[in-house]
Amino acid sequence: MTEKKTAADRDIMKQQKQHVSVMIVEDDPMARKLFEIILEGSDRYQLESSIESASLAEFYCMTGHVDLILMDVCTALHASGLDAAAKIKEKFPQIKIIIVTSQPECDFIGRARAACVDSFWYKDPSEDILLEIMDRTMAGESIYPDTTPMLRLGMADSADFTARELEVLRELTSGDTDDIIAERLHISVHTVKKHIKSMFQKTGFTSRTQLAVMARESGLVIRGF
Amino acid sequence: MKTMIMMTEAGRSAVLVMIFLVLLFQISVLCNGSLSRGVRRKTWIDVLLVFISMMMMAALAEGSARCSLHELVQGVERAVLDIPAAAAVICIVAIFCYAAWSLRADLKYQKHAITRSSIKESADTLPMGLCFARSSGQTFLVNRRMEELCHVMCGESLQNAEKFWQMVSEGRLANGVQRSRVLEAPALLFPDGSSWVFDRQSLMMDGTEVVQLTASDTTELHRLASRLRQENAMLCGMNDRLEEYGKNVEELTRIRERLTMKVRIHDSIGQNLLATRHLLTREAQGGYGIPVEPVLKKWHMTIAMLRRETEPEKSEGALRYLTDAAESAGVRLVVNGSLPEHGAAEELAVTAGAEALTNAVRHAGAGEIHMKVIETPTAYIVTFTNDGRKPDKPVKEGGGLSGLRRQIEDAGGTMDISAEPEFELKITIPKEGKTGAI
Repeated sequence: MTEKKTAADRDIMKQQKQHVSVMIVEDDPMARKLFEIILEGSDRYQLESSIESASLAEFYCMTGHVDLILMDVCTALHASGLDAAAKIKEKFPQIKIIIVTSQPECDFIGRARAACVDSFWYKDPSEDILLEIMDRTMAGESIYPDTTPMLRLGMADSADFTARELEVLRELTSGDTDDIIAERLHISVHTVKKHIKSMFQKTGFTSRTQLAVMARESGLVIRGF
Repeated sequence: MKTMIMMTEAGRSAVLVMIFLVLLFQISVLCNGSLSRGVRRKTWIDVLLVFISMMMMAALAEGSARCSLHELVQGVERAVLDIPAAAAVICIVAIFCYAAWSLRADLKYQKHAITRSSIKESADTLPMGLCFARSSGQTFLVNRRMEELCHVMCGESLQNAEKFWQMVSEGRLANGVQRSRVLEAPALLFPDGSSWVFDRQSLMMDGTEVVQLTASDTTELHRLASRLRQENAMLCGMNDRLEEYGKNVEELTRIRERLTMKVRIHDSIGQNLLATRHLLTREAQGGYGIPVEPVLKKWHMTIAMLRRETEPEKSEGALRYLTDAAESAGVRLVVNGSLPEHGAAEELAVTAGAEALTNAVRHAGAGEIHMKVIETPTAYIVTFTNDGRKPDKPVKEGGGLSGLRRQIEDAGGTMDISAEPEFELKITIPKEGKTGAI
């Protein structure tokens, strides 16, 4: 009887034997090496490809066999991992994607959800948690952090800002004038000034530069990804 | 009743003086009126009254001098001298009153009606400089402000409007007056810190050409414009600093992550050592059967980590991303020319390459991608072609291509797609990078 296994049994056997092919999209060599090592150390996953820029992620998905992607947000060539993830999810819905980032930018989680990304993980160097998230994601779970990491900006908590204020703050880090910011966000210059003033009140900062630099340094807002 | 003839010499002289004074007053009123008004009031009454006063004066003077005159005149004299003295005095007073009344009326009229002087006066109260002149340049109305400005600029009063305009628009400026380029219109900066914009217009009035020069006070505007300019310059500086800072922040994050990684390796070595010692101790004590595998695996991992740590990082530039990707898929990437070494141009070229590679393999099933880089003094021109199928319908710019176009145009470059004779993606990237600075 042992030689005659059912088709279902064989499938299970195959799944157990077959490794999950993982692609790493990460431009920081250290983090990439860390992920590679974690994969090498595990017996369930195998490294399919490890690339620096999200602009080529779709190409690798198209030409190779990828089951799971560990995708950074801010990748080489200024390519956004979130944009790439959205495109891949659209064309290859079966590929699971985990966004891994060390940037606490408040908008990333929302955009990842909108792009139907499976899981989201704030980088931290313990391999066990990442492996667990990978396992659960492969099992069909969707794991997101409950909140973005709480940050302090002057006297304010990151949660004190409204969505619109954060948008203005993100544009403010470009150093552009209020006119340009207003045009880009399709709001009036007056509204831009109002939001900035409100953020001055919340943070206790007195200059735009201070506000922009502190926002950028904290990683609360990141432009261009 | 006492007539004039019967009056004493002294009384007659007094009346004579009175008439003389009234006559003088009347004449001055008449002159003042005729200068400033039209034929509004009945001038003939004034003239008649002047005449009467003169007659009375003449008669009185005659009576004293006793000269022989024409008979008619003598008749009139007699009649005048026969008027009762009281009536004569009343008549003189009445004439005086009438003259006074008409003077008042004249003054009132001058105050309320538009006259030459009233125009000049009101033009003087204008905050702007104003000058009207004939086409020859001869001025006929210059207000006080314009006179002042002209005085500061050339030290003399405004005589010829055309000459003045020439000096304002291109001539040499004296007395510390400077031209300003802050505002769009040409403005002059005066030593007292005020700024004036001059304008010249030709007007047609009753068929003759009249030149109008105006000077508007733009001090406040000028101040605001200079401040705006300063703030813009400051913001530009801030933009650059922020950009620089952004790069540093990424680097800092990277360094921080690297440090965390090193700490982790260090920790794991410590743990491994502890575990190994534990294992060896137990083994030395004769306790067999302790699994060696986990400890071995840990060492394996730590050593792998250390080995990678010491590996030199590849630094071949971004083109490697493309060659690696093409190689992994068995596609040949042929590069003609050399890419910009670093910076935004290289990034954009490689980003475009990634898009071209993806599209060539997906839509054209290409096996070979050609990338040609031409360097001109101002820009890099990069063209991508492939050996795959030609597109059978017009190429639609989907998410990838339109995103690429936005990126390239943001950097001041251009992107062109042509399907004939073969599919070609051509991008131009300016060397200076961003040209759209404020």
